[in-house]
Amino acid sequence: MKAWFKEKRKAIRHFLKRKVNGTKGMLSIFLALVVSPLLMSTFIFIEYARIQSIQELMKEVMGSSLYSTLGHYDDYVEERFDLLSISQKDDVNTTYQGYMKANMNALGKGASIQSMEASGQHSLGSASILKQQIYEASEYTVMAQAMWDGFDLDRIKKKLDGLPGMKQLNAGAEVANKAVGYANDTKDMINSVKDFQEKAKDFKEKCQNYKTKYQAFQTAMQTVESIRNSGQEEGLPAAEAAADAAARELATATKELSTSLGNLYDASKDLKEKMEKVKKDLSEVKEATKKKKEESKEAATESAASTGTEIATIPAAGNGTGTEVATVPANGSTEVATTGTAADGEIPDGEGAETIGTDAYKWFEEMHKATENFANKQIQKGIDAIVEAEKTSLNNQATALSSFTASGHSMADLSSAPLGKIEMKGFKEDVAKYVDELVDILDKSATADQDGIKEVIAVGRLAQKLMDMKIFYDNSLDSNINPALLAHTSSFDTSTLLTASGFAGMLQDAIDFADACYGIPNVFKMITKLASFLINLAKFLAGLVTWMAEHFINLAKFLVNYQEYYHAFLLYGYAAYNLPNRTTYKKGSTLTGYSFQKVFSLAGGSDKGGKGGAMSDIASLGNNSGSDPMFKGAELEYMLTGANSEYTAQAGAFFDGYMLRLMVDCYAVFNSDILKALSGLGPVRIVATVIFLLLEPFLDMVILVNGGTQVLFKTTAYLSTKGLPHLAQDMAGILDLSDEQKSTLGGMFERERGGGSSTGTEVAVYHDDPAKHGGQDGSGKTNDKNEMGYFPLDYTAHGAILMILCTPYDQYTDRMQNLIQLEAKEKHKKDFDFDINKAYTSVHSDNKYKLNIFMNLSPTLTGGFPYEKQKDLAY
Amino acid sequence: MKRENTEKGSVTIEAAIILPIFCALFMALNGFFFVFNAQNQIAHALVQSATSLGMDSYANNQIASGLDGANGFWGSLSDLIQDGYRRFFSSKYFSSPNDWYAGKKKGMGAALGMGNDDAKRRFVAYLTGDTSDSKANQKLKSFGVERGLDGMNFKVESSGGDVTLTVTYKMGVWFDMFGKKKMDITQSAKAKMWGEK
Repeated sequence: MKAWFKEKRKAIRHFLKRKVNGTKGMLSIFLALVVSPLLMSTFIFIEYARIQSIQELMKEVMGSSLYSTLGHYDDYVEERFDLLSISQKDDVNTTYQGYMKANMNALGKGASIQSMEASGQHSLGSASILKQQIYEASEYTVMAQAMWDGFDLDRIKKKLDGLPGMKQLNAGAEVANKAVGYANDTKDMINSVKDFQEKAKDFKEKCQNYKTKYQAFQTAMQTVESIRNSGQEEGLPAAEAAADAAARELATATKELSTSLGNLYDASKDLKEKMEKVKKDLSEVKEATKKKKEESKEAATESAASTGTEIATIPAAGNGTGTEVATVPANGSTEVATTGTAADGEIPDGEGAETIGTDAYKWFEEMHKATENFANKQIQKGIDAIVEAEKTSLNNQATALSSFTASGHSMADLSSAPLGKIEMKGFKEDVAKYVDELVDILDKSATADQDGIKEVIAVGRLAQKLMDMKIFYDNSLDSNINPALLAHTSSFDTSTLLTASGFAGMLQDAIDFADACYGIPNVFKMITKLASFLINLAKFLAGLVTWMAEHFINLAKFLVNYQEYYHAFLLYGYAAYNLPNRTTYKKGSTLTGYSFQKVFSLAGGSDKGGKGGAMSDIASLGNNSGSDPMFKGAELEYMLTGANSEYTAQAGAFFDGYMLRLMVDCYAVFNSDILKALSGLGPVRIVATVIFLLLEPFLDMVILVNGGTQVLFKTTAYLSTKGLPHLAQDMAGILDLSDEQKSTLGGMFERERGGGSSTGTEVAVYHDDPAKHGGQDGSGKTNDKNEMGYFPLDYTAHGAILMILCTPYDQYTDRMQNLIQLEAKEKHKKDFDFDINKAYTSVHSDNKYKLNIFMNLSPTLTGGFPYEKQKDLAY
Repeated sequence: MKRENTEKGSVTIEAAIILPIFCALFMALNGFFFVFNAQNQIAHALVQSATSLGMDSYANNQIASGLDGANGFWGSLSDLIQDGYRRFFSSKYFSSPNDWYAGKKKGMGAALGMGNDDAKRRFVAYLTGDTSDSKANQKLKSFGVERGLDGMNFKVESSGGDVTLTVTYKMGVWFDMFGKKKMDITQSAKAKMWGEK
């Protein structure tokens, strides 16, 4: 092997010496062959590194240019709404290209642009984009404001979860509906009593007539008999003729008595039937009561077994100490009268928490009992046979008398049938007297407390005056939007306003019923009015429950999906805290510090002062469009209702708030100590209950729209002993009430209050100049409880809750987009035509460029390295 | 006289001629690579700095306090606290509380020419990812920038709602065989001043 190498080496040397001229040029050859490729490789690596570096730099330049393009944002949308979108004043592509060209300087000659194009995308007109921006805008601000306002989201959510108001109203509607049927049955029974009364009077008349006629007939027959016995024949024909005539008259009286008896008997049968029906109704009520009571017991047991349910923390009404008790009265959700402690089978006494039906049923039962007592005494058992026999006797007698001739009869014939005198044994002749007594009892059955009725009527009339106040909208906020300017068609269902307008009729019905019970009572009139009232009440409550079910659509979602609640709160809280409403448009500002007054000025608003729109005007309010370019300050109300008319939106929002308040006030109203004290009024207390139910939330709303606060969950009603002083204080400074009305307000139910005054010294938190979304008491305190209940919140906060409850997401974003569109269009009208669908939040760029080569190693590379790159950037 | 082995030393001579050429070629290539690298890194810092400077106006507009020369003397308390924190406790390398862009009439910062200093600090921050002037100086010197950070001249212009950051410096190649004069290099970047019209 070694020898082989030696031989080869020798051969190479020989070749080199002979052919290559020794080692001359060896190094150059070596470098040419070995180092040149190395050098080439180095070139390539350097070029590659340079290209990579420039590629990265190109990305940076594109990113910076996109960023700068995004910097051309719409300053009005940003300042006003805290949202970012690219200004439509400049062309996105031109702006982008300007920055790209300028920034290519930084790259030297490393690259050259061949083409570039940028376009906006993802506008605020897209619901998901808008929502995302709102979430980001409100993530800290809304939560911070909510904390400042004393919103304890967890507790509010739990309280909404267990709110008894809906159940109470639902139960009330069902009860009222059933009570209508029962009232009609009772009315029929009273009708029968009245009919029986008339028939009894007639019967008495006919009985007396029969007796008179029989007496005359008897006398005539005695005359005939005495002439016969004296043997004086000449006077006999005349006497017999007179007896015949008396017999005919008696025959007529007998027939009439028979008919009257028949009629009375029929009336008694009818009365019995009607009584049975009422009895059956009452049995149903009792059964239902018993069943409910058992269910309540079971529920109470379950409730006691469960731990930490928030509903169990509502203080007992009237304790006023804020002590949280462990139970919520079962009556909170009961139907008829499951509240009391009465024995099974009886309608128990309420304890101030009676539902609508309790007092009515008690009245019905009282009337039934009185009627039953009468029937038991005056309509004896086996009367059918007796009356039948009497009628037969009377008819036989009438027949006999019709063909009666005195010449063929003697006095002895009058001692036995058919001519003998018939005594009425089935019905007493003076049964009418007892019927009159019954009617008197029935007339007075509603109530004997005339003063109480008078008081209720007075409060009812005051309620009418209060509800007729012009309070529904702020006159200065009077835009009627031009629908052509809207991004989305906006609609408003005015039927809800019509429901609201029905309140006045409802109140009038209640007062009419109380009126019927006042003065000289007439049970028939009362029961008729009650039936009519209950019909309307049932309709009203059913409408109310339907309305709530339809509008509070988000409630169920939140109860199911806890996380959803927080998202919704960010979304809806954003609108509540960033948009003006009727109570803030002048003094308030957004979370970003944007003054609402600017909105008012931009819209060309002028301060007209005062408020307008009474309950009676509501029906005439419609979703009126007009030519106004934007709203003037009732934007929160627009978000709630979607109405193009600012007046209508305010009225609708008032109504929404009213409904919410009605639901949350139920507990306090049903537990009002004044309502309990009115138990002596019997069925008239229904009127008081309805007035309380209608008036309490109305008073709340009046105070709220005047800048005051209300606890979200009331434990003490204004219309209670403790609440009335608060009411007087809260209302005194804000209402255009006459002195008399103020005095009436302050002195309401003096009797029931026992001349006493509130034991509480704490007053409902109210301030006539609420701080801008600040602490609910203007001090920034976050106390969530006072004497009236939990969570004192102002109109804005109520608006936030209402939106959470009532406004679906899609409507929310549509309306929000409409508001942005309207305002921005008006603001920018001199510069450009704003379109929310072009309010882009992202830029997309397409770029073609060439990386210039450093050293031209090949003729084929003269064009450099072409590249295409897309890049997106968003806010 | 017989000339013996006349080719002796030819390889040495050849090497003496050809090897320096090759070496120079390699080193020149390497020098250019360093120049490109330096330029690119400076370009990166420049673009990022300009973009960042463009955000100063937005931040300052959002946080308007009395400490801010271009705005009213007293802003809200929260703004004052935020501005105070930025001004006295946070690094000024990544944002500036001065309204350097607002013009002499409006901003103290602008009147004092603080914009260029702000730009320099911003450049240092984005060049090193740190807030160290010495690191930046070292890095720039290693790039061949004459006098390092001190040799960098920053100029900030704010007009039409845009900021243009221009930097000029002298730079030599890593291997300057012929003592070639340093290159004058100017690079610039432009960005939108957010919130400025």
